[in-house]
Amino acid sequence: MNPVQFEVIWHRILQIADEMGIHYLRCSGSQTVVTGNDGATAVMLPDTGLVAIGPYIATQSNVLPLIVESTKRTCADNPGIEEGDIFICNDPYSGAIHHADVAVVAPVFIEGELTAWLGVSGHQLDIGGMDPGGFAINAVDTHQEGLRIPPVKIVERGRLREDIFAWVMNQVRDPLVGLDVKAQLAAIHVGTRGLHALAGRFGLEALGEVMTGSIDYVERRFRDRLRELPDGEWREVQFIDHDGHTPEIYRIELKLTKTGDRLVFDFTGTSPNARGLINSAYSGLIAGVLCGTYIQLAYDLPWNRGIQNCIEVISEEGTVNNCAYPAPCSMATISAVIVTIDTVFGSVARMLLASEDLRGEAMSMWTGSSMGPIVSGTSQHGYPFVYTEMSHFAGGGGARTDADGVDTGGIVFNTTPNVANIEEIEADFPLLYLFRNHLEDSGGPGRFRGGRSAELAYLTWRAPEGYLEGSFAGTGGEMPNAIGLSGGLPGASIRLMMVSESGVHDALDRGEMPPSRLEDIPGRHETLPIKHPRRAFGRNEVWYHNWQGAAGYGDPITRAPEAVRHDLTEGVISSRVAEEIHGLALDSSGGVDEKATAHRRLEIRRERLGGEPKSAENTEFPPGARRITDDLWLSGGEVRCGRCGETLGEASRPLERAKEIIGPITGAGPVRGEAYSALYGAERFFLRRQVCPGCGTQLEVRVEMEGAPRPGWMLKARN
Amino acid sequence: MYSIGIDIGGTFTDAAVVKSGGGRAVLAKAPSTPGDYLEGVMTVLEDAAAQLGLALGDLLGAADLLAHSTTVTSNVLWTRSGARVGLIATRGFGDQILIMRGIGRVAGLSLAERRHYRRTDKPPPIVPRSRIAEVAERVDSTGEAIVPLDEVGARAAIRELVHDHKIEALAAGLLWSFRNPGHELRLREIAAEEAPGIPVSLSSEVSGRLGEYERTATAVLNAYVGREMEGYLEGLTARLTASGLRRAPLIVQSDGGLTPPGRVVPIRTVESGPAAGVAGAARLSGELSKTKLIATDVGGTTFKVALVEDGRWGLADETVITQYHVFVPMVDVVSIGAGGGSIAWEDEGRLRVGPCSAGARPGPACYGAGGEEPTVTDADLLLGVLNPGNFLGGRIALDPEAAKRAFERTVAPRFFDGDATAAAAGVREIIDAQMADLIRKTTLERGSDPRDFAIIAYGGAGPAHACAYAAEAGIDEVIVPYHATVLSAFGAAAGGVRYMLEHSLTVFPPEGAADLGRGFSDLEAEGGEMLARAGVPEGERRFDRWCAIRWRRQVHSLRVPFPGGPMGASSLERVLGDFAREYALRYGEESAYTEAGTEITRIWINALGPALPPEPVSTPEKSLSPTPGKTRRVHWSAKVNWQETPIFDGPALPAGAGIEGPAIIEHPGTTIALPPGAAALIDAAGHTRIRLGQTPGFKDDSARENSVKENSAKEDSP
Repeated sequence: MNPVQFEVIWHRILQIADEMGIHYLRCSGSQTVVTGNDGATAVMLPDTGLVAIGPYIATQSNVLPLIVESTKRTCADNPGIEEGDIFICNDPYSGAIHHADVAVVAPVFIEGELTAWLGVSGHQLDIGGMDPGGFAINAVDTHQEGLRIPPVKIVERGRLREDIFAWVMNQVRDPLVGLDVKAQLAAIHVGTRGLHALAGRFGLEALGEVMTGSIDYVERRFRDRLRELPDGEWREVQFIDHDGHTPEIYRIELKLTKTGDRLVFDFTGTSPNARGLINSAYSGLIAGVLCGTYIQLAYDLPWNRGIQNCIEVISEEGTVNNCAYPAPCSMATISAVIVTIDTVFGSVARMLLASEDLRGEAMSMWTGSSMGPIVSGTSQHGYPFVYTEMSHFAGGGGARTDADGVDTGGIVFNTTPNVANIEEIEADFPLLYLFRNHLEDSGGPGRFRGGRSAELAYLTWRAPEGYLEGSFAGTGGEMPNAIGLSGGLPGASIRLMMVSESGVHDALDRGEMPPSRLEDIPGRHETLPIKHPRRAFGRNEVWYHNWQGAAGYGDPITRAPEAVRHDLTEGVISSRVAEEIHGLALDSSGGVDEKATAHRRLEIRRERLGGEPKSAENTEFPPGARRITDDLWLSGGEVRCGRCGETLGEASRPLERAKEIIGPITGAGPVRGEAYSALYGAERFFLRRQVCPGCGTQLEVRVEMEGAPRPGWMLKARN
Repeated sequence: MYSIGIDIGGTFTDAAVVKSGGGRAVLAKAPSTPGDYLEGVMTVLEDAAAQLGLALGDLLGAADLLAHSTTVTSNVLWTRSGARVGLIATRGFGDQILIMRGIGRVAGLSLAERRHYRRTDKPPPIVPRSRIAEVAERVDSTGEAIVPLDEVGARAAIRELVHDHKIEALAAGLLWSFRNPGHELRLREIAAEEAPGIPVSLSSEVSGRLGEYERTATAVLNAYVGREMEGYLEGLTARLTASGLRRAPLIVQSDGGLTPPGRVVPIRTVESGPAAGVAGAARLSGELSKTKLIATDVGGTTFKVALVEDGRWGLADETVITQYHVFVPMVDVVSIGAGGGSIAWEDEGRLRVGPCSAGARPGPACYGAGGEEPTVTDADLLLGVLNPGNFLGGRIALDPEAAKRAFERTVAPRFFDGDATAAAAGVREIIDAQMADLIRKTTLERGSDPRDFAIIAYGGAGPAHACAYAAEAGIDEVIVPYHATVLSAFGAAAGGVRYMLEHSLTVFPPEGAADLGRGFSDLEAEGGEMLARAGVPEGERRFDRWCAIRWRRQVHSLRVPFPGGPMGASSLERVLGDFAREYALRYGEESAYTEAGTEITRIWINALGPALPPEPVSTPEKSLSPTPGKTRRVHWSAKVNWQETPIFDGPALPAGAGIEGPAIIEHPGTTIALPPGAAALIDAAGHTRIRLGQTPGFKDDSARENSVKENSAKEDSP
């Protein structure tokens, strides 16, 4: 095909995916979708190959092909797949990620021929089941988790099946789900109209050619990208705390092997199915792998099937991110899936670091987990509501190799993250917020700092029945999931607190201003398990949470002193972190005391080594060497410290001779899991630092658990 | 009597003078003078006066209206040269302006840009945390002040901002202040005592809408640009009054309406130039008796589209300015990065055009200013569409050899066997298709069919591409207005006095008719007063009503007209019916959620004075066939290839002149490309009215599209 026509048609297909998303959001009424942008769209080939995806949640787009596959498998003969049909599905065992993500998919017939499939997916406010809001905290099998719709024909030859629609509506607590499903149908119409116009203008054959050609194009580009990167093996180990029943810890293990133009993601070793809702089915695993890969490696490409064509995923069914029926999985997105993304992020970032040309694309982990406090009851307007607190979509951005991460910059799986205004929340729901501000010290320290997260607190307000109910589904309270690169430290972990008998409501009734910091709220402060089932949310109770911050990049004692001082004066970090972690010293006028800072930093190196460090200023580059991170050289098969020249290991065991320092995670700052260690009476995670035995430069910092395998990496010689 | 319009753009300052007696407007253009914009303004005014044979003072003295659009506000924001702003927020919520709802990192970016996470950042804060003070006070969602303002704390905070942080302007953004502005108003009083002379910008005054982040951002940006804007306005008013102007100059707002000097909300003048351009297109709709127009503006880097129906343009509720979401009502203009400067490049086997642009510096390769990448302008030049000696009125001499070399570097050898002409034609085809995609998207999104519209083409590069993107979008009629290169100035002048006022409320129909009635009459009383001050006699004041309506609990609303006169159950019923129809049209029959009921959240009025009545321009008859001055070879398409093409001197063409394509019509500042098969007529007002005569391929497919719709509609009915 001539390149001009290809470009013209391709532009239009991308626009169709985009327009579908815009229309979905315009018509929906759900804050989760409209404000949180928690939805996705896709254009697919007749054989389900992903051609183009719309904006918003990348993970949800990735599973639309799986849903089409299930639809074809189960519906082709009976009831049949025909022009004008639309199918609805939210079954995680048929391709959805979790129950709350309801998708509709539709075949597009042009001139009687199946030309494409379209899909729209979105996170619904409620999906029935034992708990409002879609997260069934106490479930032990998926049948308790609410509506689980296999592919079902909801529109038959252009006509809405009112019986099916009514059946869906019968199962859900919030009638707004009806508006949202209709918004999805509207988006399918827009996409169908667009494809018809496109085929009419350029012909079916040209349309088909561009759809498959675009996949080939992306695959070609992605293989080129992979060939630029070094071969090697990267092992990541990440954790999920609490399964809804007990504070058990689950592990996701990944060994990423990169050879030439191929990536193999091997999850062997991952914990078996959890008893509770944190699992993800195969769909979530694939969605997570692709999402992490897109963002770190395919940042300048259209995201479609071409990328998946270069990837192999190895995983055993019956594990926490590939669960076996009937394991519960209603919380998959914000437990097993996001933690799977973390493993992909960590491994791919280290692969990028090893490449001279692409090192700058590496990012430390963004806010590494996700959470959903859910409040329900009767609103001040008199109707039943389910509200999912989504402020954590303003998570921190991971530190970059030459810049700090973005404070409250988003959540990694959403290309267009957005959180609600306080006024929007209070207008719809009977709540009053006390504060929502950045959380001090939440960004992982480093040469470049991880982006900050935030904290908030609220109480019931003008609730007609006097109280509400709330449940909580979060991951990453006992430990941070955002792990740094090149010696950068992890970001904050989640903390969920309840303050009972606070008297705040009473004080407000008297016209008194409530406190705007957690520690100033009077009453009984209690750390709540990161997942807990529905409980009453009474008057004078204040609920508080903060979410995870992002991770840092590089040794924090190499951060520019002026940047540390700026963070201190703007309230980004505490003086403890400035002094103890960054080694900052100020003069009497509040400016940087260069000499004292240098001295303090030298002290920190001494402490790390338990002896006198070599100069870290030796930057003489050995001939024939290449950098494999900003701080490491590979020279004649030997890995050496780029600061002092000390030999650390070889390509297959790069940090073998690094000095290891084990310590508590609070060595990275406050709110790193200590509240949960206190709650459970056990410190199950620790920080392992690897420092250069020569100069004491911190090269790698990991959050690990006793008895769990260690993460690591190695480079292979190119054949 | 005259109406004078001025548009101060980044590159040029334009003027258009419309005479009440009719006849063609007088147009003038001069380079903008960023150090002191007034200089450029006086230059164009003197030029216009000279064209009319008048002294400047006589022209100004005879002017009923002088309205202008300006880039001052945008310029302050882009160059980050505003005032040092301090902010007061409700205690516990001082970070909202920094959190930016999380979306600040990617606001306003394209999908491709958003996907490159690593390259995205929030903008450097206009107000850093150290200049944000939190005060104790709280209003809840009902508007009740549940915690009174801590005046002692507020006083101390303001003092500290002024003395320690040396702020030059103060903004306040308190929770729920749009429901109950009491605390913000009190802050202003305290500021007046503690910091006399420091301007105060209140979130409840810049916007009456729910959403503390956007309201606060609007107040902050307003405070940031205020100083510059006020200085500029004072200077302009003084200078023009001294030169003989009798009434204060009015300024065009982002929503296309005008504002008198005393009521200017500085941030609401951002992008007032493009808004005035759309107002100009709307004015033409009256003159040309065209109810459906698509205003298209092709500049150096962007292609802008706005729909004008029945002389009205759409409004967007909010906009993104330097990554801040702000509540500034804007003319609904959508744009993509496609223009004369868009660069053609190879992307691993794909031929891409844009969104990168060569900008004005170095500009396209043919400018000879160091640009090496081939651009759309280079393609136009190489294909003979542009005359190297007549670009921007001859201000820049173009170098065809440089354009050819640019294509021969990569694009031609890689995709077109080294053929630079074929490469240029391919690039033109791609960019025209992208522009057509935007037109199609914009019309379809609003439930309209592009084929029902005529295109108004303006901006320097618009007329050279309009026939191509119109054909690709299935549109048969293109109009290049006489004022194509100064349409914003014309739009500022020609619409007459018009003010737009809005009010937020919550009404659940069928209840609430009384609230709506009161809301509209309050707005109309206010608008009436403003019109009176602008010298509009009572009998000539007109009001349009609008409301924002949605299904209950939905987030986005539609804006539908509201009947005038006394409020009754029937007027509300009519509005509900219009809404349901409009909704079904845009989003499909079964997507309406009637069970939910409806909700009205906002109302507007347009308060209108008499514009100079549009003089209907009758559909022209061809009365003569002018002879071209010369000919040159133009490459029209791969099929037609090179063709010896007549070249006409645009300004010399009399009314009634008819021209068959292929032809090129050259104006100072723009070039009309009339492809083979198209025909142009010059009408009495000097507009070039083009019929394409054919829209190959597209019509058939649209017919099919309709038949699909009809089938499904049939199946829908029992």
